Amino acid sequence: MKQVYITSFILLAITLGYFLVSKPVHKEIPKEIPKEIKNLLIITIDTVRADTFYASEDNQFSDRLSIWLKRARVYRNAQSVAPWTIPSIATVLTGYAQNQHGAGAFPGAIANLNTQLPSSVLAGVSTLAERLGVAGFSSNAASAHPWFSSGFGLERGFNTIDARKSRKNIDIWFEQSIKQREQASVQQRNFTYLHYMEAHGRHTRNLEEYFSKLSNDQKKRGLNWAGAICENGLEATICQRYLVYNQAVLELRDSLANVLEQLENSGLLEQTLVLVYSDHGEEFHDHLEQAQADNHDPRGIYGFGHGNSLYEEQLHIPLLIWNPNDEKGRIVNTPVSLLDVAPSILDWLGVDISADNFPGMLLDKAEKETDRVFYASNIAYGPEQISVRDGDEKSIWNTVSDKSSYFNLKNDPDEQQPLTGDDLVLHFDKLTGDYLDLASANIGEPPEIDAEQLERLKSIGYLQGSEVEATVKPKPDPNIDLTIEQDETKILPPQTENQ
Amino acid sequence: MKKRFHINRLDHQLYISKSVLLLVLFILSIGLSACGEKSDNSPADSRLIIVGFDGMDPNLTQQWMDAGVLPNFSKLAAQGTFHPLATSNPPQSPVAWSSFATGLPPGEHGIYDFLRRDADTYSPDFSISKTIPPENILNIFGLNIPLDEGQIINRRQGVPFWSDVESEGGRSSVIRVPVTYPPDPIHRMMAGMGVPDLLGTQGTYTLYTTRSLAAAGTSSSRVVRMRPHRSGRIETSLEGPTDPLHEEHQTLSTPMILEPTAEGAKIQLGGETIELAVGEWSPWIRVEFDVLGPISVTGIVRLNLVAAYPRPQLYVSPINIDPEAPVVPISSPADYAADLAGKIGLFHTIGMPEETWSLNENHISDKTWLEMLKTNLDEREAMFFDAMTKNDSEVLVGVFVQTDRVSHMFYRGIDPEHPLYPETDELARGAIEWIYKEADRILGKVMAEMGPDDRLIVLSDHGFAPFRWAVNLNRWLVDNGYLVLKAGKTQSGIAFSNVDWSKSTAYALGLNGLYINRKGREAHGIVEEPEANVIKARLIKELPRWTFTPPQATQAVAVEDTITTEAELEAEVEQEVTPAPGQAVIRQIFDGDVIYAGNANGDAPDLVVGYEPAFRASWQTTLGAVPKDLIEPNAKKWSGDHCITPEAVPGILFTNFKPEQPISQIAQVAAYARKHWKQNQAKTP
Ligand SMILES: [Zn+2]
Repeated sequence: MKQVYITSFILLAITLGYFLVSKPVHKEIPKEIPKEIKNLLIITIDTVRADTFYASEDNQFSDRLSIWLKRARVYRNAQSVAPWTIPSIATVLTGYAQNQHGAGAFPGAIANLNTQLPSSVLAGVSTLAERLGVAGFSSNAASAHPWFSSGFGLERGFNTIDARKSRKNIDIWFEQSIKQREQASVQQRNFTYLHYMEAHGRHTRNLEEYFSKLSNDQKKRGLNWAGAICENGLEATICQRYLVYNQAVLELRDSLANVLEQLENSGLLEQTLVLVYSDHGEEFHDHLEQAQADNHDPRGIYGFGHGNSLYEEQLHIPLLIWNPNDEKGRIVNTPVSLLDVAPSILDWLGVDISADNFPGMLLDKAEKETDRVFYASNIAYGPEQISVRDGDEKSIWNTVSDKSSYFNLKNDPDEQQPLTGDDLVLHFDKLTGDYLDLASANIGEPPEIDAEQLERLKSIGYLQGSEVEATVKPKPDPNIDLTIEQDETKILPPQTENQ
Repeated sequence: MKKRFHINRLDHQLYISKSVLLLVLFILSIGLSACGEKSDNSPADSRLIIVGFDGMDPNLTQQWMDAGVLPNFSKLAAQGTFHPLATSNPPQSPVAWSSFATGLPPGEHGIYDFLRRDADTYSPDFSISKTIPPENILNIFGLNIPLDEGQIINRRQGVPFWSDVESEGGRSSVIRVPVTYPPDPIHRMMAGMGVPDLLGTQGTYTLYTTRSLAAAGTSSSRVVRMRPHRSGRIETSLEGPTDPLHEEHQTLSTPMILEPTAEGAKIQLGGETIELAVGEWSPWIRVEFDVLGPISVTGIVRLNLVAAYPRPQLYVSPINIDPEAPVVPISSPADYAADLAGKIGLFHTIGMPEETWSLNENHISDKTWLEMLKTNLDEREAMFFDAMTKNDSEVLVGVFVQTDRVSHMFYRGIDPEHPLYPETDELARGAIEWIYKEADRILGKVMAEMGPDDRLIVLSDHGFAPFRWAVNLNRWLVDNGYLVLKAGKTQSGIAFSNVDWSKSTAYALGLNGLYINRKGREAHGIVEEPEANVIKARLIKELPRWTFTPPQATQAVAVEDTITTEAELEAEVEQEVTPAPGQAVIRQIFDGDVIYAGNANGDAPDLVVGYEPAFRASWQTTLGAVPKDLIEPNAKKWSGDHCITPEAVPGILFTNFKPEQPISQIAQVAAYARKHWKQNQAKTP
């Protein structure tokens, strides 16, 4: 009896095997062989919201970058995964969602970047620089952002990291690095990372100084684009902030044109993939009432800045790509995600990603895919939130109050008219649950940071709470837990200047 | 569509279930209805009727008797006796009811705690019953076919008095007494605490939610996330036991569909469609898990719609063994369960059906839980009175455990010092009094049903005390150098996951147990015999010196303005201070060698911890974990307990006669029962 079974199994296996082997191979029509892309340049323009960045084009104002934009893929509906730097950049540099790379999370349900160190990229999650290093790249970064060199894992894989404070200094560094590469005898493949901070700090920490520097023309242009932000006139602090911010964004655009011109002049543009994006946007009281209600914040501190909400002002970001294999530029209106960046880069640079399980999509494919769900999470100040965007619909769930808001971004792009309906609750609870199910059980431990790094972080507005100092020791004991107990009654606002 | 998740279960449970099932099918197929071997239905007289109300406390009983709300207890006390009944050490139901049944101390019956520890792995194990997988399994084509039957054994040693009575010619009916699984082969028995659910666990319920799993709290039972369609239709499944026949042990499941209705939800499960409003319990639903061809395993569940659309939550009870088609024997004779179900309808068969954990986790409401408990009580009542009115047993024993469960879950309603007291409503504050009144009502029915020569004993296995503070005993052992964590670790998960046994001398597991890491006994034991006694002596001395100051105690010592004289002030302060700063955590540590002489099965702890009232081992301690804090406030609804020093929680004893010798200890009831039968026999020729 047993014998019969075994014999039939063998026969079955042979038959199946035959069919599998003899299946005709589908022949593909050979495509034009693409140019080999040797180098990668990623430029992070920190804190640039999409509408301000594209305001030039939308208002038919042209600057040096406008010409370059005609040659770029312009993703007009790119989405960040978080409203602040660490979780967002970690996604760009790893290809994983925040709840997979583990960086930028806080131990409790209420985040407070004033008093707590966020988590790092999990050990075992590879970064772009690490993977490109294996493929023979040298990787160099010039960053004005201290997070980048503070041990949160973003620095992994870079051969050199140069901490520069200003756009000008970064541009000088870049000029020198191009010269060095021109003079080098062996052309090693290269990944360069630049990180500008001009749009991050001027309007928050040095408002008076920069506002006084604005020319009348600059103010006028800013007012043209400010919309409701300046509805109370130039005297309103929030309007002044926006005008300073707007000018910083325009200067960043100019810088980008500089970099691209240098690349073209040195002949490197033909073999370099250039990617420009912002890690998150910035809010200027666009949702003030909601922010005040959500955070019991009568002073309106939460309606300004970033890291404190998941509205489009903080999530909708510019994303531009110059790919040597693109004949000409194009505007892509299909929403894409910062999750798509890392896998696309690796693929374009010829790194095999077939064994990876990235949550994003290749951008070439993503720009045709309209049926996608986008998630964002990881608040830096206040109760943790998770947003889900499915088509035109979006939900924002406050995990502490357990309240959700629903919007239709097509009819209500400014997210001012919350919708209700059981179908929305059912649908978005399901999608939110999917995101939470994906979560890695671990988050990376916060790094040990020294006094110098702490000072740098404080200088741009982070970790100003006194509790953090207590955790920073000259040589921290590895057994000491750096996280600070959550004190929910004492949440400091992101910026505490006069408002 | 099918979700897989991991649950704790007795790995081999289903080998047995399967083989027993095959046997049952065989018996049924040849049309041989198993009939009781003892078909003696002649009426019994001079019966001994013993009714247990688990956890009934002498102080609360007296209080409500004085208030006149327990007229039948008062009447009984007036007829015969009423006094506190000394309980076992530790005062836990499985320990105490085992002493009740056998008349033996724990050292001889071998049940020392709800949980025993496996000395090979330092992990907790259920102490009441043990499942032994079949020895011979034919493994072929990915199927595991059991060639012999496995075995389920009751870990309790000794002979219960009802078996003694039977072997001397009497008949016993024993209804739902704890630690009677598997059932003894007597005239009539319905097994109690110890009967597993269909998953082989002591009660795994499932909570279905559309929300994230983290939000639902996954610390105990199964939480299943449903993925609804926008319309509200949800297709999900109920996971049953693992497939006993497949090597891979796939989980068997049965589909379930939810749809919104105006009042709540419509649910399709097990071939039935039920509409439920929020908070409403469904009738019993039979679910079938297909194994192979015509073979299937059936169980019964009840559903409760905990929350309405658009965020529905559905509670599914543990999958009870179907009394009409039990996969393992739960009664004597085996078909008694089915006969009874035919008479009183389907009923909870699981050993501990009062799903306390679901209330503790806030997965169901107080009201919903009390409704479930009332159903349980009604089922037990129907069973007991069915046996009593049959009047065919000289010994009739029935235990109602609902008094214990309500006391555990609602002590917060009568203890103003419990953290949850301010949140309790009228329902919660009156719950314990309600169940005592229910006990009184049942007692009244029993007394009305009794014959003139019947003797009645009403008892409880222990009393109750508040449970305000959860004690992380293993934390104390770490802080005091007895338990050593692995380098770099400051805490440990359950089953001592981070413990360095090569440096540890003592550990706590179970509700009252404390063990020495003995060389030759524990897998990584280091303590030699003479040293073990030194360590024990140190713990016996040191632990009762442990004092604890509740955080709010300092504020509680307020001196009132009305006090004028120094003496008055002193007296007042004295009075206020007594329970506050530096109160003792542990009253006494008992030496296992002294109280458990004999150590019947080697499970006995080396030391037994007698906590002071208001304190109890934390849940983490019972499972061998080491959390951060020494003592945490108990903010759970499980707010009363009795696993403390036994002298603080005696049970009750009522009799309708004056016993010839006083029954002052629970283990003395068995001797009385044996003697009563002998005297009876002597009377009747
Ligand atoms: Zn109990």
